Amino acid sequence: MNSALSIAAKDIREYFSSKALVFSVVALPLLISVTVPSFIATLLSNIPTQISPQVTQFLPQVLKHALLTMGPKQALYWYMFSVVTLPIFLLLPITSVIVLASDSFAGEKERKTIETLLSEPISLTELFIGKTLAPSAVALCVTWISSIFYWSLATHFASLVGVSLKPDLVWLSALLVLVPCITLANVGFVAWISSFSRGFKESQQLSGLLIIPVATLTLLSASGNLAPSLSLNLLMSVAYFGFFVLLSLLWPKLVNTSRLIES
Amino acid sequence: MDALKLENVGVRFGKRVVLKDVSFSLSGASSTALLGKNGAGKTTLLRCVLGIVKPFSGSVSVFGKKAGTVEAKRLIAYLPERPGVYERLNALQNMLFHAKLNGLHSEVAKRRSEELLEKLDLGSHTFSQVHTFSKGMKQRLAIARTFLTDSPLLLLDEPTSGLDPDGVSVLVSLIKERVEKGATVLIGTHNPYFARRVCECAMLLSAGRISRKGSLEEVVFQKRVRVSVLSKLNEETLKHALNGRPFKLLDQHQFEFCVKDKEDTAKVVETLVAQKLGVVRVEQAESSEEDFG
Repeated sequence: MNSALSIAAKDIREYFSSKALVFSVVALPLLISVTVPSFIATLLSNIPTQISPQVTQFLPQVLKHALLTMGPKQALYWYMFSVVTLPIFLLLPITSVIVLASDSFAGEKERKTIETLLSEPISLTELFIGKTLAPSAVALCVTWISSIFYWSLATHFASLVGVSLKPDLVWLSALLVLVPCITLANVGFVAWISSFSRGFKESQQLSGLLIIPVATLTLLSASGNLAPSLSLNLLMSVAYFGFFVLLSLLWPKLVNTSRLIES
Repeated sequence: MDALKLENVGVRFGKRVVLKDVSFSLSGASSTALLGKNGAGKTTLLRCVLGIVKPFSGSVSVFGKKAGTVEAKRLIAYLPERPGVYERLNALQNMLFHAKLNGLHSEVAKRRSEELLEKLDLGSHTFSQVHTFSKGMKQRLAIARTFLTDSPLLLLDEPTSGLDPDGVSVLVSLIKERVEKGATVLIGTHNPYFARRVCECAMLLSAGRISRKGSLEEVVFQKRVRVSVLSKLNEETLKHALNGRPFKLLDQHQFEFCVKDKEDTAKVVETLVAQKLGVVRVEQAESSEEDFG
């Protein structure tokens, strides 16, 4: 496992040598973490304080429950900040590091360094995990830092309408368990594509596919059809982690090292 | 125990057969040149030893360990045809990354890296980003990286590529030093004059087969005799006249063949005279790089 960590450390060192690359990875998540709470606060500042029963019956179940314990404005603030926005933070680790993950093997191939790497005394499993760890570590840091920014602003805006907001168990489990699992699985999947594709561009185009499942979740959540919960988070974590394990086990068996060098 | 053993190795890419039935073994402190034209299969053979290319037939072992395993790769230092250095890292970071993967203690790795970079005239570029290096500098960095570990088997693929004469001299001294310490070195090159400076033995790879094997002088620099005759020659006549000895037909009245010594030359010329080919001139010429294969 030391070799995998050494490969990841080398990759991270390479990322940091390019300021443009660091900016492209960090800019979008930080922007989202600031604009989303500000946008929600602006949107909710003008809503009426009463909701008619006709409207209430069409509201998502979670929001209906919240309306029993707090006023409509407070309930909407809580609902938007705590429920609707969560899936955005599941999308962040994927979107922010697609460039890095696509570059994992394709970049080594394009820069003709893959042969040196394959000649080193490391197993193919260690190589795959090493190439997955670096983009994953960056993705996690960026997502966690963005969520700190988001929660600082969300707490501030919610306090203005008298709602005391803090990340609950659903949020914590999502950030600390589900996000790492999603990140590993998605980065692993992109790295897999990257190793089988001819170059960086092809790998980046193909890797866009993996946003689909998490984007679907975001849409379902935003439409009120699916509420994030602890059990859903854990179930998804197991599924994503299992997918990552499967990728790590299959890659060494399926990869053709001579083709990796030739392409 | 053999440092390297290949038995009936065959490699093909799609329908194209690149190596056919290659067998040889290397052991002890020695340096062997693997000679051949471009495309002869030298790089493929070296990649086979590393396990990067999988043979469809035969077996490859490194100190008795199956090629391609982590244990086998731990015993090999490899210099690829292209330097394969990380351009977004500096020279020292490149060296230390390789050292880490090979389990070298960080202090030892740093000291050795600095010594090698100094030796290869990169001392003042230790902390420079590799993307600022020239082609020759990148090759010197790759050489420094290859000699960082004490691997008992060294595989060098076209090591003089992009090197200036000073760089070649340093490389020669590094190889000799390593052989003195007991390492086995296999050098894939198309440059017999470089091979002559460091190798005692050579193998000639031609169309995927080992066509000649022996001392470097025998394989590459053996004498050739050029014979001019009055008779019109063709392949069949010569095959018969030379009794199966390999030859090269230059034109209808001239051909060349290899000889061991003067006695051998005299014997063959005697046969040619007896066959009434009308021998008018016999001259000696040394084999050159173009003669391979």
